[in-house]
Amino acid sequence: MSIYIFRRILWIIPTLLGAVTLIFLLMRLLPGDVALYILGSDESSEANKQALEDIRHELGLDQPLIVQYEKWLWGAVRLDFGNSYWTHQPVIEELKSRYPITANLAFMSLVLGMLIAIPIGVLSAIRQDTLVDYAARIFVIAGLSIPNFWLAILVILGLVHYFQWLPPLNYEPFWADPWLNFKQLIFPALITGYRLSAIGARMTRSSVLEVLRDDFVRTARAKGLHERIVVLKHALRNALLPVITIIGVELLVLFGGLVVIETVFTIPGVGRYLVDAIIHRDYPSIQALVLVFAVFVVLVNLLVDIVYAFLDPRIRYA
Amino acid sequence: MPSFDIHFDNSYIAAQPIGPLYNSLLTFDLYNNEKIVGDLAESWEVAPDGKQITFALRQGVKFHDGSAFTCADAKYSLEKLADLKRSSVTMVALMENVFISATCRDDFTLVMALKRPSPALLSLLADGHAVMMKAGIAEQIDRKDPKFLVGTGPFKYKSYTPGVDFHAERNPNYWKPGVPHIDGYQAVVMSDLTKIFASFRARQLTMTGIGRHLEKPEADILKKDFPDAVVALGPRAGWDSFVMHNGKPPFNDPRVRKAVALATDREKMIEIAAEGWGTVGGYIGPHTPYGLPPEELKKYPQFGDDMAKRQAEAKRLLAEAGYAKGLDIEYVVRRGPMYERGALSRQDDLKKVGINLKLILVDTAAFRDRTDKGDFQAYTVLSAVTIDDPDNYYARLVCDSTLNLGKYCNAEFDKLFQEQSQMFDVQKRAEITRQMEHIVLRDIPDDRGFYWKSAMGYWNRVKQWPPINGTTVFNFGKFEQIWCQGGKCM
Repeated sequence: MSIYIFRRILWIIPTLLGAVTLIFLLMRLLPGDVALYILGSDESSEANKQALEDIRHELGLDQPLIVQYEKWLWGAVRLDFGNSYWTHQPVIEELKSRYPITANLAFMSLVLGMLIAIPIGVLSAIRQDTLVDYAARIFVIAGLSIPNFWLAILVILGLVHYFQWLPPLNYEPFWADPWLNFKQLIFPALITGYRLSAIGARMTRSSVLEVLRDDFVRTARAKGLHERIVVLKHALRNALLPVITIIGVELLVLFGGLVVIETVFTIPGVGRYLVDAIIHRDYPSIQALVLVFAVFVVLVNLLVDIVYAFLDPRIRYA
Repeated sequence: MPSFDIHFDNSYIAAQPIGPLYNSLLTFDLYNNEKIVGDLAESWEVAPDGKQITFALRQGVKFHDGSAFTCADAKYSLEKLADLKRSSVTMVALMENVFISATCRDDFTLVMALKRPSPALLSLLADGHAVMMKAGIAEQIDRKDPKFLVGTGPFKYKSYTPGVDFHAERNPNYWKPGVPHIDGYQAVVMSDLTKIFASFRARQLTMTGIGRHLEKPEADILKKDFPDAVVALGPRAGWDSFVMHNGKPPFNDPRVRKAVALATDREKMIEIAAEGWGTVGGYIGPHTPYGLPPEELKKYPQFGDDMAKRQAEAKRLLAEAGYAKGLDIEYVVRRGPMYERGALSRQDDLKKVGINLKLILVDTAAFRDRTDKGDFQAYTVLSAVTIDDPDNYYARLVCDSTLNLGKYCNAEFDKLFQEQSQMFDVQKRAEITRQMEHIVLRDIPDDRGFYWKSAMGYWNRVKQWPPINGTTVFNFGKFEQIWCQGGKCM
């Protein structure tokens, strides 16, 4: 087992290296000059040739690609991602200030998603092929097919049109003002949580349906237990295992969704930062964000692999 | 925000939040934009030969750090404005043609020596970008550091979060007594028009933007459902243009450029791109005293009412130029609804005469890259000037100007440009600029689709907001005069 884990950890290095190299090269293949963007991006701006050269030199963009890559990689190993071309602040500081906001939103989305998914999934299973089940399935299909950005725009327009209200503009951390934090993030969290809830509800439904046909459920019923106890205490507890697994994987997708939601709702998290960084051709920020995301994905996958290996000996001996 | 130095960065993105932290030597009268009044200069005198301007500077003015504003600061600022390493190319393009030196006769008398008379210079000094900075600031502090923001203006820097917002607070030691009335302001970064308008309707914003960011359908909603909202509309020194590379085929042939102008249905484009909020014009803002009146413009075939006749003439010209079977053009368009809508309208028009525009949509960085390198046959951009002066409008059509990306060149035009550039009398200057208009309307260096209108929404609790003029996006009065009824702005 320990050899298996060691081997899996070793594989992380080339995976991460591949990811960052790819993004490093892709960013430089994109058309557009960072210096030109820095010097002016609206209709009245004109570029100053000398200043362009100065900026390229200052950012190290006049150096060979391999030198730029080497410098960045050595910095990344020491968690020094350099300064953002756009905000001029150390990238690590930008990440530190924005990650808690995204984590706050992700956590709310996850909690809301689960709070919606499990009751709907269970109801849909125990009322199979009834009106309740059909309604739940429509809810699930809609959640999987409606794009986040479109739903977000509809929600914004709906809130403004019917209630003359929108989530407050200025972000407040949960510990500073929980109510303001709730008001600001509840709608974005509901929208991102909706997709998660749809996936969770679908998984819960099929899992509960399967478990309800198992012998131990029949035994529980034969003992004369109340149906509510049978479902909640016996069936659901067993049915939740695959749901939790799929939610873990979907968390990665959730982070992708937050990029869109943060941009639409102007929430100053890492998602919005990533979009702004791409627009501004802010290479250090994009590379750092991709690296952090890649680490996150790799660690989640590693964890899943280790758990599987722990549960299934065939994997660790393969 | 690219930098905190608005000498260097001449975008409205920087000028709007940062401008109120500073004063200029001169400023535009908010209620009569053609009139220039003193700001940090109490008075000024132009020598009879126009080659020297003497400014009497205001005394008792303090920078936000408590130091006194003196002639040394004004001298430093003017020299910086003329230096390509420390200021934007647009500023320097104007300054370098006229500026020789600035000297201090005493602490509060500045003398500016000029190569030649220049009426545009006074407008430039009144522009929201030509602010007075503390002597030596650019050498002491990085322009990307907020500590750079030391001005004499009605507001002081408070905080800035990139991509999120910019906060400024009232300067309690402002030299002008009794102002500003508001305690501070927050400029919020929003890239999406839908979100801007939604936030305004939800009363999270006092205004949709300064002179921008309100579209006609939204204005209709405001007029219908929000009686306390004000929709302000006015001219704008910004235009849609189809810039053709005059140095490359096929647009090095004036007949092809003329065919483009003939085939372009401007009224239709105004409806599609600006939803009716636009005005047809020549090569200078139709709201200025320098352009041709509409009846004169109409004499040019590209402004005629009979589209069928214009299209037939365009086809004839193309055939004469050797493109009887039509031609394909790579057309670079900057991404954005404003640019794309106009480009589609133009694509549709030109197709009718056999010019097939292949749209290449690029983002801002790639767009600037291609246009700056001359890597285009044609491109569309919303161009704008920061001051409503003929020098600013025509600089991009002068042969050796760095702003001339389309590479148009006409010696007669350049001669008249120099001539008008030294004329203080508006009437006489207009006579020359109208001759210049006739030249470019004949040569068609680029095709002007239309001039935009400026539009913004604000709540009627905001008092003393000035009327919209051509350059409101840059010159809006530093918020010093406005106040909010009952202390609430929305």
